[in-house]
Amino acid sequence: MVSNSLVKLEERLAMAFFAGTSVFVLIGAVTRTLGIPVIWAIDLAQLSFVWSCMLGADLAMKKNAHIEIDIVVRHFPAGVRRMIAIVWQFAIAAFLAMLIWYGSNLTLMNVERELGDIGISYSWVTAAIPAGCALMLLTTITRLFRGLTGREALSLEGHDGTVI
Amino acid sequence: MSGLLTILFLFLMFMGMPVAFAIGISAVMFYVFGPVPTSIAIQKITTVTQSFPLLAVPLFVFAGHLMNESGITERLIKLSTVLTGWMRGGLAQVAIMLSALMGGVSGSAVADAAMEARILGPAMLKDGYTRGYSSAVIAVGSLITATIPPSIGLILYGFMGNISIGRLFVGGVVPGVLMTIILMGTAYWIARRRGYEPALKEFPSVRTILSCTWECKWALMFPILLIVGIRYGIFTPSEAGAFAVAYAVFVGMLVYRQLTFDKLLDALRHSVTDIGMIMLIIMFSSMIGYMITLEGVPQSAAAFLVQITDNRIGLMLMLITFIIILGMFLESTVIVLLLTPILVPIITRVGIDPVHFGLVMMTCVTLGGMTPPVGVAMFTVCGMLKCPMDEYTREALPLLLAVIALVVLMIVWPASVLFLPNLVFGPG
Repeated sequence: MVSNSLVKLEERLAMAFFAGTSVFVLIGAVTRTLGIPVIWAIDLAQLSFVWSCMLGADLAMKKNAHIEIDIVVRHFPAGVRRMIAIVWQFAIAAFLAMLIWYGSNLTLMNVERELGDIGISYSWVTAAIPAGCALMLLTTITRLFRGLTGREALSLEGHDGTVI
Repeated sequence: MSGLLTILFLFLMFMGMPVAFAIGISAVMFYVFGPVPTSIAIQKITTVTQSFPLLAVPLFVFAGHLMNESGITERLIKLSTVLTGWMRGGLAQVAIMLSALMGGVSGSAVADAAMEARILGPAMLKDGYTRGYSSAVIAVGSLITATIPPSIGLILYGFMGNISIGRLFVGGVVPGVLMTIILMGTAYWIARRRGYEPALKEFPSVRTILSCTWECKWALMFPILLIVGIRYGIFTPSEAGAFAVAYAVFVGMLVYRQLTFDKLLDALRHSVTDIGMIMLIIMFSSMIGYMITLEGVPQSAAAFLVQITDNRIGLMLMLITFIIILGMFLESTVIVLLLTPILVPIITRVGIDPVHFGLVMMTCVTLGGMTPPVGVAMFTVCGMLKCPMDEYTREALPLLLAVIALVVLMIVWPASVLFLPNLVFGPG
């Protein structure tokens, strides 16, 4: 994987963004109840949220936490599973590249648009999508490279979600 | 086109592609080959992250992680023991009662099942309960946690179906209590047949019960504060999530003094991965909404279903059977996120109350985590207690049947779900 300290940094950033989301929503709620609503709190909550989502999605990818279903593929021989895994990694990489392309366009289109009333550009929000996809693309390519050169086992194993 | 893309999606998913990407890749095909420009797809993905109601999901996930570290759990275990330990099958009853009490602070069945397997599991095995039965009681019991408010499953359903989360929360109270009673009854019946002993020798004194209840006041008060707050508009469900986070930090750091800064960071770290996982699915499935509306999928599906039966109860039994079967093979999160936007328009068309349907549906979807061959709560508990699947299946059967009986009762008697939300929020 990418060097460990970078992953740590990414994780800290995601945590900071999400802590920010929690605090901003709380500020928004308390001030609204007190009758002196602070509008920028909601805007900042949503801005930090989209970044924590995208960084979190990449972290989940690095930790293999995205849900995968192996009820069918677990009966396949290991060689076939490896083959499919490689094809899927390529498909995911292509899909992410596509999202980066369209996401960057959307970001450039939104430079002028303002986010709520706080006077910063809405493209800070939209930029999170291509940025997060770029990180995931990097993760996918690294995994593919390591898998093809035999430094990491590529296979389909099945992962469970544990949220509900 | 939606039929073709559904086949593509099912193929990708069952061939082991991460579910989020199976959804994303098949959904984006609609934009690439369909009538709508592809740039709309990316706008959909961006817009969904900017929805304020959605924030309830990550905030309650975070609050759940925090509550587990706040010292509330230990006190609830003590309270469950004095409340139910004197009954026959004591530790099994304690496990079920604990799930009910945890239900008021946590919204995740899997988190509850993992906690109980870690803390109560070894004690149950030591007391002579079989591996299969201990695992089954803990796993199936955790369904109560996901039913009593707050509930992450119900938040997801409410968000995806655009249904009042406050009503759904209140609607979970009666089914959650009934589930506790029915499962405790089943555990009592099994304990009598097998001679499982009570965990406590005698009935605890009233004073012990009262002091243990007082110790738990912060946990017991929380669901009430939550519902009152949402009912009187003091906070929206998303703000309630932030309130839950603040509450857990307050109780954990200042009252019980068990939540250290390191534990807080740990909870945050776990939450970020959970949120990334679930949000990527939500973001990619946001591309589907456009397609199913444009192609009128709910309308044609509703027309098709009404042809089979136009009896509401019959229709609901049919859909629920489908969901239970699906739940045996598919992840709960995936089922809610994919089926809610399709099913809610269908059932409202034929005149079924979406809160009623939501509670029934989410009970069955979450139950899918406890039924073999695929179920996350089951995997978690069986993994921790080293219980083989066939043993689990055999022992879980009476408990699962009890829950299914309750589901049927909920379907044929809508008032069991709707009475309380209608009382609290007024008729809907």
